[in-house]
Amino acid sequence: MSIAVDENAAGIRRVTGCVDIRHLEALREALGDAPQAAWDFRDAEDFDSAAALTVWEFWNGTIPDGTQFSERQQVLFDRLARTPREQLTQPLTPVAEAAKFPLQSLLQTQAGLATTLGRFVLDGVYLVRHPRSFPLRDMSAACYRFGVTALPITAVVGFLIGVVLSYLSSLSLRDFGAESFLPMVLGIGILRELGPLLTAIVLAGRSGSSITAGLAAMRLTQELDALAALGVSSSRRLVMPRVIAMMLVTPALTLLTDAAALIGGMISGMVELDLAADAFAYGLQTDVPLIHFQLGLFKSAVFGTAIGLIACYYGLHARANTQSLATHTTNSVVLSISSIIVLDALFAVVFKDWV
Amino acid sequence: MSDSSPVELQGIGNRFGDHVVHDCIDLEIHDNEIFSLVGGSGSGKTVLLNTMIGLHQPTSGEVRLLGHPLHDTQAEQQSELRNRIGVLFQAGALFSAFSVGENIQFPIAELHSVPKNLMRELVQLKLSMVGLEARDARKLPAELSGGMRKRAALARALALDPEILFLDEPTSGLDPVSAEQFVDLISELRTALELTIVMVTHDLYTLTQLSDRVGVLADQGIVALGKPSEVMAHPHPFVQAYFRLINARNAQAAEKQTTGGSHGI
Repeated sequence: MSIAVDENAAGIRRVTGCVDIRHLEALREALGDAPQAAWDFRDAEDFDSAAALTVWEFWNGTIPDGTQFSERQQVLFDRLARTPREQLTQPLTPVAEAAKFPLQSLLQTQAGLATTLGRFVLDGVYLVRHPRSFPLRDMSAACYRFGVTALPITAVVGFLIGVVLSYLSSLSLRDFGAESFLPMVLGIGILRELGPLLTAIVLAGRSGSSITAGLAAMRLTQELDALAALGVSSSRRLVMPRVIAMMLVTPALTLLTDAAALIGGMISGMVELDLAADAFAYGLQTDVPLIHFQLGLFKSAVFGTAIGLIACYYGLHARANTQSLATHTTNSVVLSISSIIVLDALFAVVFKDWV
Repeated sequence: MSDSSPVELQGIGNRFGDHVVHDCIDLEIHDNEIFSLVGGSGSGKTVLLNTMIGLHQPTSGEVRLLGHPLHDTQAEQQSELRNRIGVLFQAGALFSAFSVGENIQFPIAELHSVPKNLMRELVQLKLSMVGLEARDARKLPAELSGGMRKRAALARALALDPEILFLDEPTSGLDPVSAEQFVDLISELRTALELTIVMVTHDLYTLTQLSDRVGVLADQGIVALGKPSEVMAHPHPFVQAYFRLINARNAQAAEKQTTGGSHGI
């Protein structure tokens, strides 16, 4: 039903039709440009507060003489008359937090992470002295949730990378007639670099995000407050088992990724270079020093610890709203992956003589 | 519009597996009344409320809001119908990432028919209706007290000038003073906005102060229905147990008044 205005002999403008929030534009048009005239709104249907406000604006805040309302409309206009103009124009958006200099928030995160690490070490000392309060059950649950359930994905990723890497290197190796170096190339590359790195990246995306989101949700449901009120240290009960689980589980998964990648590489070598399986295994034993493998496992333990600490830090420091949960989960994964790569670069420099 | 009743339940049945919650409930809510639904924990008050607002599909029966069927209709008609009702959830259910003002603005902005300036004024008008200050619009829900959160949530429920308002435990978690203020606010708004209100409550003060009619939910159906005073006198054992405390207290107060009066004279 469209909005219509007709003027009677006495000069009163009668408004009819459906005057509600969905038809404000039509209302504005129908009102025209003579606010001073007398109006009659009694036959306007569905007259709601949005319509009242539109008419109120049109009148510039004073009701023309001789204007007629229904009882319900009168109530709406009375409320408008009582509401100060400056109150209506107050902004709705929250006061923006002063934009932080990027370096400042980086320093804040660094300090927060250092605190988390420090507390983790202190808790470790405490648990050594009070072994009975070690959260063993939580830890084994964390190992299962963040490690065991990640077995299939890390194995598949490792296998495929092994196949691709072996295929690409065999192309160059064949040109030089150096097919027998394939086990050495793959062995060093995978055991020292790719295995630990891939596993850590997959775990950062998969388990790190789950740790952060889980802890942040506990903030949202006040479970963290409940824990604190019960006198249980959240760092000992929540951070400790998760970080230790990540520390143990990452090298274990790296072992599996290494194996899957080498098997993939071996299969690809058998197909591409006609390299027999036992020749590949023999090559691995003789050409690849054990130190690469050991270093790889050590690195992955450090990566796992870093993922656990970063994930717990972001999870515990999320604020109690859904937006914060989302940004903290993102930040956790981004920082985990970039620090894994930075740590890896550091290790490459520090251990450059260990070959 | 007012020739059909705001809410009409016809033969509503709800079951979860073998567990029958409601069995063939018929209920009609009158225009411009405050109807309260009471019942013990687990008697299915919230399920019935969710059925009325279309969040829960009943196992059998039909819900009609303002004369239109709520379930089994096109999504578009359903959402249009939902724009004509307002719901206040128990914990407020404000969007935690939005400020109070943005929360109230949300349903209005969804219509895409209101200019931005007018929208802001409309939101501020709603805020003043529920007794919040203009600067509260910029606060985040987490920064509000329990009573303010309820008021903000009520303002969001009223954003589109609904004809029916559903309240789930409107005064739970509020201190007696805030609860009383909230009750006053609801009764004030009911008169001003000609609202029909359906509420679920455990609070006897809210119940007796606000309700025009009360329905008691027990034994998978509505066992007592009528004015608060009538329902309290109903012989059903659950109704008697439920209102025993308040009946006893009233009797005590009456006794005190008579004895006190004789002393005074």
